[in-house]
Amino acid sequence: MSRLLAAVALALLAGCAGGPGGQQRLVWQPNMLFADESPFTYASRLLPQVEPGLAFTGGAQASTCSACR
Amino acid sequence: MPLMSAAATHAARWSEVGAFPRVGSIPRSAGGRRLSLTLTLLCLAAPARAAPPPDFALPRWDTGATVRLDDFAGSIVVLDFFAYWCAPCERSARELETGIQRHYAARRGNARGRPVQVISVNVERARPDLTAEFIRRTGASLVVNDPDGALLDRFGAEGIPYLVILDGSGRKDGQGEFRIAYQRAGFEGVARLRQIIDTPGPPGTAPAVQSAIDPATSAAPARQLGEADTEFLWASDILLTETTLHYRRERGTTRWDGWFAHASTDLDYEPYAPFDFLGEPADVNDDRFALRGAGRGPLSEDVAWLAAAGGYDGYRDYRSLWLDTYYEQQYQGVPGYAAAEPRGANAHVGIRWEYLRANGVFEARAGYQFDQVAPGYIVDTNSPTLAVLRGREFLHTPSLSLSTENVLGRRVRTLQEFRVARTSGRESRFSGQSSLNWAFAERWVARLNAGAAHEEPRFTAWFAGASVEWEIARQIYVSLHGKYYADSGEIENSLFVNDAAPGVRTAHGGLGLRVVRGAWAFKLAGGPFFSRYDPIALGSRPFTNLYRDRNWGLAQCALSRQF
Repeated sequence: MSRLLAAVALALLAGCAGGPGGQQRLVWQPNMLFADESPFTYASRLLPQVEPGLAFTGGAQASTCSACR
Repeated sequence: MPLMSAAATHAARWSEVGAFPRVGSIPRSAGGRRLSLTLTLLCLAAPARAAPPPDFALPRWDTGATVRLDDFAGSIVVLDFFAYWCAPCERSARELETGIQRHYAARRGNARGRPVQVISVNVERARPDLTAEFIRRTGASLVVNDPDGALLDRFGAEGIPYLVILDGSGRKDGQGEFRIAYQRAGFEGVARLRQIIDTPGPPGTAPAVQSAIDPATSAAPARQLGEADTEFLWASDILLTETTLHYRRERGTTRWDGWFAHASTDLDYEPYAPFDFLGEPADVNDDRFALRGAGRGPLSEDVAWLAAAGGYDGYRDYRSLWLDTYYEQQYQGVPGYAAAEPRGANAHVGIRWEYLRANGVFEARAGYQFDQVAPGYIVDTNSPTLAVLRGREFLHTPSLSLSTENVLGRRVRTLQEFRVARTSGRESRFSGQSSLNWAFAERWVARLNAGAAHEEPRFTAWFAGASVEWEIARQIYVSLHGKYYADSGEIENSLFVNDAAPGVRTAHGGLGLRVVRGAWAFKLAGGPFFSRYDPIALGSRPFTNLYRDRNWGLAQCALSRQF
């Protein structure tokens, strides 16, 4: 079991070949890519205003705390 | 690799492809031990490199006539392995046709007079209608079929597009042989290929094959993308909007992006009367504008540089605008108070390393963000007259981001992201996110992601989300998605009046529609969003109307075009 977990961890971190190039049709579909083009992502630009843990600029700036540590 | 050859190719489910037999599915007999062994071998085994080029004979896509390698004896042959579903293949096919085929046809050969022929090799037997559309869009002039990618496998390809340059200058009248001058997964650009094609060799004679293609310019075409997207988030007393215009230009492996964004915030400001004696209701508005540019270019065969910079003017979120309104109403005219002028700028540099051709990418970025925020105020208890002390106005946030994207098998793609940032006056914030896309059936894709953030002394946040997308008709997709978020509340000190947010939990669900037609793509999505705060501490009671539970609506719309 530990060897299986180690193999999975190695695969996740280091990557694996996805099989022969001609057999990667499913994994190369446009909706399988981590695309940054707007029609292909549903990530919201506005929700981080309500969810400060997702803000990308650090705690104090996101929280606007007046007296925060 | 015995285990890979034992597994059959994917099952083809489209019954309209009558000309091709249904292929078998991957054997189901694998147990846990075989799975771990398969994973280990997949990760550790290097792709086998081909022997000297195989002497292929493949049917033409349009006529069925046989095309043999030996037909191009004395020439330079560029093989471009593609499939209709391979997005990067479209760019390489288009640029090879104009930047290689037509370029050398106009010059009657390479630098040594050797004719050059691009052969596009289709490795997907299913959906010939989509392959025909791909060929029409890219303009590929000589296309052959390589059913099930047998020739591609003989080259030991790791992925597609797969490019092979064969030098046939030493082959004539059945004597001599072709030489593999180049082979690589991924497209490095026309300039790189021309370097190899023009490498000195024996001078040529009269071309063996005349191209029927009209001469074109020698410059490789640029691929451009333009898109616009708008998002709305609204509750009973708040309306947030953001509209972004994006332009991208790619030529070879170099890419440039530019964004312009306008965001608006509209608040029905309502003071919390039991604790805010000086406040008045107000309709508060703000517009924020932002500009950003980014670039990516080659450093070496597998490494690219990354850079980006941007700036904004306006309040970054509705909470800072709400709080600034509160402080303005409380302290305007009091010594120590000054009107806020929030703005900021940011920049980052990094590298992108394709450590596993077509299957593994690593990125590292070092960034810096400067923010001039709307600070808070506290009464200066050491002043003999009423005066206030201003909170920290200028924030500096250096950061480091790492990410790795990988293809795991034929159906799974993952993205792991990690970030550490430290803002002025605070401890380092560590955050990470893991995403997994899974094509679990022919027209179905599931996307899962989860993440967490932590900052000392006691801020923690986590989220988890999932979506399922179904291709209900050709290139029309519907999706169902949901996400849950929770945090422990922002870090506060022990002052009596404290505007830090209490812990919050949010839940979001929605539907999405996406339509792709040729160069156009359109998206529409939306759904409800709920935010629920923990009970507010006594010192934060003046901000009760800011940190109250709300039911929101979220809507997104985006349109893009490639040209």
